[in-house]
This record gives sequence, C-alpha cells and structure tokens, in this order.
Amino acid sequence: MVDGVKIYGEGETAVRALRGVSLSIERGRFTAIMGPSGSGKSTLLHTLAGLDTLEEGEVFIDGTALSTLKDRQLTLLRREKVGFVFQTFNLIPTLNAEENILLPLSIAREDVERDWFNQIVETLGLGDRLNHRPSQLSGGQQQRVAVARALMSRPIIVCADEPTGNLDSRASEELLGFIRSAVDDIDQTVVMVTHDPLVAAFADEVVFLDDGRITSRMADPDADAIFDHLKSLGE
Amino acid sequence: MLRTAIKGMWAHKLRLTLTALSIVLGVAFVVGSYVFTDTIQDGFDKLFGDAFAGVDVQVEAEVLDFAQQGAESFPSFDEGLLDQIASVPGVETAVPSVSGFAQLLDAEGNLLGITGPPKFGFSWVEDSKVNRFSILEADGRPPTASGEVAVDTGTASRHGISVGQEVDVAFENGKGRFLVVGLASSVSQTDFGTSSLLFFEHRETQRLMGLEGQLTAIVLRAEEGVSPEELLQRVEAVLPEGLTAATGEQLEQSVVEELETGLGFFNTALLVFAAVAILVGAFIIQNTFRIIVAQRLRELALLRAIGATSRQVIRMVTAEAALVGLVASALGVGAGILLAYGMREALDLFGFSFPRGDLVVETRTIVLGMVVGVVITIASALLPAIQASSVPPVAALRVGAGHTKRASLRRRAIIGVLVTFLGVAGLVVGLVWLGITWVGAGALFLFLGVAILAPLVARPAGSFLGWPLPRLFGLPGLLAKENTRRQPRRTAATASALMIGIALVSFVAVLSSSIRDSVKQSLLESFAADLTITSVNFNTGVSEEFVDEVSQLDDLAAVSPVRVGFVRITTADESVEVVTNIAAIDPVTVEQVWATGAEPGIEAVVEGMIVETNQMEEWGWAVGDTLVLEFPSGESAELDITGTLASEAFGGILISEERYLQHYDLTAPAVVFVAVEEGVALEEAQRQVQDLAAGYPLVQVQSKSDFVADFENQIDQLVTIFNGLLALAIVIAILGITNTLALSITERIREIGLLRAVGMVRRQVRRMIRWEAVIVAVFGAVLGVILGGFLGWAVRLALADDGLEVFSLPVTQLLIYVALAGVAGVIAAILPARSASRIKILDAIAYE
Repeated sequence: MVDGVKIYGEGETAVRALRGVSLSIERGRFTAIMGPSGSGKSTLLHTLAGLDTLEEGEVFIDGTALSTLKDRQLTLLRREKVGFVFQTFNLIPTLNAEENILLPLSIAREDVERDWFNQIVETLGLGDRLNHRPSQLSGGQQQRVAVARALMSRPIIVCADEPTGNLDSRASEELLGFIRSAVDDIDQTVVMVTHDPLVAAFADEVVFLDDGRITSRMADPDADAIFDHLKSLGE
Repeated sequence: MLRTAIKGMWAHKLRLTLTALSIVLGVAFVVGSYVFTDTIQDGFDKLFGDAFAGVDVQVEAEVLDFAQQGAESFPSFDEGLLDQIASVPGVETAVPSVSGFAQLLDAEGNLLGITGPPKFGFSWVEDSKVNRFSILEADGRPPTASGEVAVDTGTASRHGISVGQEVDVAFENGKGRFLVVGLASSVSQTDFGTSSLLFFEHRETQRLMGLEGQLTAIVLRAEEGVSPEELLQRVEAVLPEGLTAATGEQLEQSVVEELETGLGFFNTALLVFAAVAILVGAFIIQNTFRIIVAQRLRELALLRAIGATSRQVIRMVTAEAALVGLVASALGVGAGILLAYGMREALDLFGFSFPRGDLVVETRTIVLGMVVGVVITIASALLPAIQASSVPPVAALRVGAGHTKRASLRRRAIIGVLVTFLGVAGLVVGLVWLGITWVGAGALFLFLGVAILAPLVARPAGSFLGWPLPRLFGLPGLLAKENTRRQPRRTAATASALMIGIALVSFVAVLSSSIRDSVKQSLLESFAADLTITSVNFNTGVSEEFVDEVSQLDDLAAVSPVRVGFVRITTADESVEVVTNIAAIDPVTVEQVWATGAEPGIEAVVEGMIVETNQMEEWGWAVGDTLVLEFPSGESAELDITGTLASEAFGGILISEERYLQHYDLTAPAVVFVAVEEGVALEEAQRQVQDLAAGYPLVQVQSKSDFVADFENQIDQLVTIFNGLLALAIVIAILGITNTLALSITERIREIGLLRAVGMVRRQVRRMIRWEAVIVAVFGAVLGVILGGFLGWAVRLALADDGLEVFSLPVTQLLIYVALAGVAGVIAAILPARSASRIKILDAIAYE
C-alpha cells in the first residue's frame, strides 16, 4: 500500500481512519497488525484485501492497482487472490463444512484439486467433520473450516481479522499453530489484525498502528516484547 | 409502549411500505367496488328520477311478474283502447305511446355502439307536460313526418350527429334511412351513457316497430283535483283483461328496484373478488409480522427483561399492526376512489358508458374500507403477537433463535388435516345440497387447510423444485435451493398466498374448458343444422320477415325456427310450481336440424308437451301427467306430457310452434336453424342467406363452426374478465414474495456479505435471490394448480347432470400458469436481488 488515506464521513465530522499509510507485505511471511481500537487497523486490513476503497493512495496486489478495478474485477480478484478469515460468522449456515471450504471455488465454478483439499483437511483435522453444518461445529472447528477455505484457492494473501477473537485460549493456540504452519510449510502470505500480544507473537513481524499512521514495526516478536512496546506507547 | 411501536415501525420503512401495500390494494378493491356501483346507481337514479315525472297513470299490456326479468320486451295492445281510456272521468289528456328496439348504424351499415345497453325508439309525444324530452330551438324541431328522426343529445354528441344529416337505423324487422330533424334533450340534461334514444312520428313508429294499430303504453294526466291514485282506481275499473295500469310513482319505484337488484348482484360479484384479494393480503400481513417478530426476538426479549409484561408486548405488536392498518386503509380508500374512477373511464373507452355523474363516495364506503383494513391487519398480526409475548427474557442472550420446534409439526399436521377435511366436507355439502355459499366456505377452508399443511412439504418441495438449479447455476443455485428449505414455514406462507390466486384462475380454467368441451360436444352431437341465424341483440329475436325470405330460398332443405319464452308450470295438484324456459319448435322441420332424441317421436309435441328426462325426474313428472302452463300474457293452458326428450337445450321443455303463437305476444324466433340441401356447398348457401341478411342489420348468420367459435369466444371473454379480477390477488401475492425476500435478506445480510467477500459477484448474488423467489413462486403455483384442478373437477362432477358431461383438464394452460408464476417470481425478486447485490460488504460483515 502506498500513501493510503481513508476518510469516513465528510467535513468537520470526517474521521481520517488512515492518514498516509505505506506498507508492503512480504511474500511468505506472517504479518500482524496491532493497535488500539480506532487506530485504523481493521480499515487497513479491509483496504489491503480489496473490501474497502481508499480516498487517496493505492493498493497493489500482485502488481494490480486496486483503484483501477470495477466491482466485478475486484470481486474476481478477491476470489482468486485473497483468502479471508473473519472473527465471527465465517460460514454459510446452509452449507456443510466441505461445501464451505470449497465455497470460493464453487462460486468460480472451478475444479477442485482433491489432493490439495485432502491435505488441508487433514492438516486442520477436519476429516470427520466435512458433512456437518456450521451449527453442529464448535467455535474452534468453525474457524478451522474458515482457514481451510482461505487456503483452498492458494491465494496470494490471506487476510485474517481477529480470527481468534471468539475462541478460548486452547482453541486459539491450535488455530494460530495451523496458520503458522501454513506460512512455514507452504509459504502462504498471511496478514492478521489482532489486539492480543499473545496472538501477535505468532507472527514474523508486527506492525503497530495508531491514529491512522504506522508508528513502528517489530521483527520476530515475542509476547513480552510486544507487551512492553504497547506499554511504552501508552505512556 | 405506543411510542416504542411507532419508533420500531419508522426504523423499517421499506418493510412497512410493502406490508402496507397489500392492505392498500385489498381495501382499494373493496372501496372501488362500492364507489363504482354507487356511482352507477346514482347515475341511473338520476336517469329514471324524472322518467315518470309527467306521468300520473300509465296503461300497459300486462306481463306476469315472473316474466319481467330478463329480455326487454314491448308487449302491445290494440289502439282502440285509447278512446275508452281517454273518456274515463278525471283524465285530462291521454297520450298514446309506441316504443321498440331501434339502433343507429354507421356508414358501413354496422351497428353503432356496443350491443347490450338499451337502444330504443319512441313515438314523439307533443304534450310537453308528459314528454320529459324537449327540443330546443337551436336543436331543430320534433319529427312530424315519415323519414324523420330526433336523436338524444348525448348520443348525438358521442357519435357526431347533427341536424340535417341522414342516418341509418336498424329495427327488428329491417332498417331505414332517416333525416335528423332535431336533437332531444331530457329535462334533467342527463347523459344516457351508451343507451341511445331515437324519436319518430307516432304512425311512423308503429310502422317501424311492426305495431300498426297497436300501442305499447297510454300515458294519462289527471285533471286538477284528481290524485293519481284516484285516477288509477277509475282506470282500473274499466280496464279490459290483459292490461294493467300503474301510477308514475309506482313505475319509478319498480324500475329503481329492478336496477338495484341488478347492481346489487354486480356489487356482490366484485366484493367476492375483493374478499379474495383481502384473504391473500391477510396471509402476507401475517407472514410479515411473523418474520418481523422473529427478527426482533432479541429486542422483544430485552423489553421483557427490563420488565414489560407479555400483555404489553402483545399490545405493542398489535399497536404496530393497528397503525400500519390505519395508514394503509386510509391510502386504500383513496386508491379505491381512484380505482372506481379508472374503471369507469376504462369501460367508457371500451364503449360501456354509464350515465354521467360525480363519483359517489358514501360514508358507509369509507367506514367499511377502514374497518376491513384495520381489522384484517390486527387479526393477522395477533398470532405473531402472541408468539412474541411468549418469548422468555433469556432469549435476549441467545443467538439464532426462531427455530421451528419439532413438536409443533405434529400438531400442525393434525390441525391442517382437520381444516382440509372441513373444507372438503363443506365443498361436498355445498355441491350436493346447499349451494354456492357452502362451496365458497368449503373452498376457503380448503385453502387454509392446505396453507397449514404446506410447511410440512416445503422442504421436500424446495429440494424437488430446486434440484436442477445447482447443476445449472452452480453455487448460487445451490444456495437458492437451500434458502427455500431453510424456514419451511416462511416459504410455505409466502407460497400459500400465491396459491390462492393461482387456484382460482386454475379453477376457472378447468371449469371453462369443461364447459367449452361439453357444449361443443352437445352441439356437435345434437345439432345437425348447417347454419344458425340469431339476433346480435338480446333484446330482439330474429325478424320474422327475414325468416320468410330465407324460407323462399331453393337451396335449403329446412328452415326451422325455435321460439322461447318464460312459463310458470304447476302440477294439477299444485304440489310443484316452477318458472322456467320453454321452447317452441316446428315438428315438421326440427328433426333435420336438431337431434332432439324425442320418444316416442317429435310428433308427440303436437298433442301436448315433451320434457327432457332429467327434468322429468327432478320434478317427479311422468308421461301422461297433465300440467297447467301459465304464460306471461296471463293466459293459461292445460297440457299433457306426451313424450320425453334427450337434449336439454333451450330449457328442456318443448311445445309446438302453433301452440306457442296462440299464447305469446313475442313472436320473433330466438334462433333459426337451417339445413342446406344435399349437393349444395355450405359456403354458397351461407352466402345466399347472408345476402338476404344485408337488409336486416340485427340478424347474424353463422355456420356451425362460426357458431362454435363464437361460443368459445364468449367463454374466453368471461375467463379474461375473471382472470382480470383475480389478477389483483396474484399481484398482492407477488408483493408478498418481494416482502418476504426483502425481510430474509436483512436477516441474511452477513451471509451475503461473506459471499461477496470471498468472491461472489453481484450477478451471482442476484441470481441466488432470483431463483429462491422462483422456487417459492412455483411451489405456490403448483399447490394452486392442484387445488384449482381439484375444485374444478369437483364442481364439474356436481354439474355433470346439468350439461357438463365432459371433464377437460387444460394441461397446457395450467402449465403456462406455473411458468408465469416462475416469471412473476423473477419480477418479485428484482428489487430484493438488487438491494442484496448492492450491500456494502464491510457493513454486512460488521453487522451485529
């Protein structure tokens, strides 16, 4: 992203959610975005993923400038190049786990690589849950299905918005382990928004955001270092 | 609580509008029906209000009351009576009057204006106290010689007729050309709509109507100091048998009463359709409130948690319904008045003009519209309101409430089957014994029963109807199918609303198709006539002079007229008394044109009367019985039943032509059947008869295939009118689909946001919504076609003895209905699909 500016509203009530953010996400890395609420971290993620548009500046995914795309092209780009994991409500209730995993492919009416599917399902331990509807799955299982879906189309980038926000610590750790291994084993690029230092510690790099600006970055973080850094920001 | 209700409503303007719309339409139909009929009534009241203003007493030929309904007739009497009546003490003036059928022709010799509304010709009355028409100086002068005519001003301006012009006029016995010498305006300046009135000189009128030396009425004015009632008594004292007298007031009364009965029937018919529209509206209102309540479960539970009693919750939901009902009904009343106005203008465009006047909006109409709208809305919302009140406060904390409980399904099945059974029972009772009201009630219960049962089959129906969709459209198709299966009750309720309308049009289709095929069969089986001659007008028969001319043609094997009339038949012991139609035939020629199936033979008619076997059975008669026949003229005769008849055409009772002519004044045949001589081409014979008919504009000559086509055409027209009236119910049902979809989309907004986020393009979203609507619509249509087909089958079966011998299932027609319902589904989905495809993904995902 280059010089990203995002403004909500107009005139005096306008909120500048992003004020000139430039950020490049390296391939094959796991990047966490942190910041207090209202810092613009979710907006940053949404604009990176092509869910939201910028007032100024530009987002490039795989060399494509998103502002040049119409809704349809943008949708197709999301379908092919971006994977999503949201905090809640990741799954379509009328579809079973398998159908949910294959959702982007079915939307595109593309053939399923069965080997790839089996590998993901096996890694995420969903083999015996494929015929279950979301309402029959635990929160952790639901998020794992969401991760499986995000990985299934081999996207250039996976955007995760507080993926563990609704999970207990064991399920959180499990899920983050899966995401971590996707990065390590298959070079999957992942960007994740979180406010939890313990969660951010799983990333290769943490980007700190405040008041719509990047304040600092931290490579190979651990939870204590992040916590300390946040504390220093608060002072 | 009221404030909360208002705020809640305002927050959901769209769904409010859609819910209100179904009420608006229903109320508009009710109000429109009343305003329309009231307005027509008012127009006619004004028209007839001064019709008898100048009449103190009027003398006419007597027509028994049972024969007065139906065809207009002009019974006449000898003009010699005039002097006798004029000499009655107290009579100031006695004016002779002659009237009959007369219709203007256009330049090509075709009848001007549609047939139906009365087109009369009168003798011009000089006495301005008696005649309510006058001709202003600027408008010419009255007709005084043969070949002159005066035209009423309304008709003249409608057809651009002016003084000095020549016009052609058709009468029962031919036509003539006349010079327009004046334009007659009524005292009250009334416009007669499509009715037209022509005035001729007195002797000329007698000649034109074929009533030389005859009168149809004598109008009397009383001397000063003699009341009409007094004069009536004196006149009645000297009146010979077969004549009757009445005061102007009595005449006006009877005309107005007759009119009210006719319009009352018309109004009732319209209201039945309005009731159907309202029933469908009620379904939709109920469904809407149910969904709204489900969506607001948390909000309602929160209210309960903070201390609102369940009664308060019921009151809140009902108050919301009452407000919607009130606003929508008010709009409906306004729309209804517009509808009545539009109806009148539309009919005017098609040539059905009614007497002009302002729209009549009675207080009764407004009150009724408001009450119906509000009551139906509240009643429909009551059940959902009670459900809402039973929400436990803890539900506020739970997510995803509103699932169908399994236990309730069984109860639903039992109730549904029970109601359906009641419906079928009502139907059977109505069809076999008690008549149309029970049939209607039975059908209503049947609809309700099936609607109650529909949720039980909604899931399998969704799977079945939606099975090709995933294959055809991939994921959007699959989701469309699954979404219809998601809330079977909602799907079923939405579909049921459409079911009602489709069931009724299917019923009409099945019944009309059966009528068509039955009549066709009996026509083809029993009628051997090559040509059929009828009058284009209900008011007149086929000119006898024309029949004489046709009889002279060499190429015809038989020319056989059939005359019809009312008759009152009593058995000798007076145990049975029926008023019915009777037909008179010529026993010599009839067998060549009509296979009557008479036993022992058609000659038996000469000795007495022959009766169709089913009717014999129904009234408990047997060959050899002696019956008393009373004719409209007041005469009566004793006749033996001398034979039986297989065909029930013309009422199923035949007498001989000779006997008919002895007792009836009206002598023009209703139909003349013609058989063509062997070896003569039908076209050639038809051409010859048609050439003769050129002099008789009212006569219509049809070959057997023309006749059948004409009949089919009439049936089709009726079906079109019925379908037009039922269209409103279907439109409301389609609005219901839109409404349900819109509400479901609000519910599923996060889901749609997610689909969009992971790559569903807008077109696919629209496709998903669209096919969901199509499945729901087709489900409703299939239920409707099955129900309508069943109703049609049952009614046909009940009427099998009354001539509906053939059951015909118009498969193509019914399939078209289902297909059209699918198209309607697509249309219903346009707006919801668009709004679903345009949701802001982020808002949807962040939706809490």
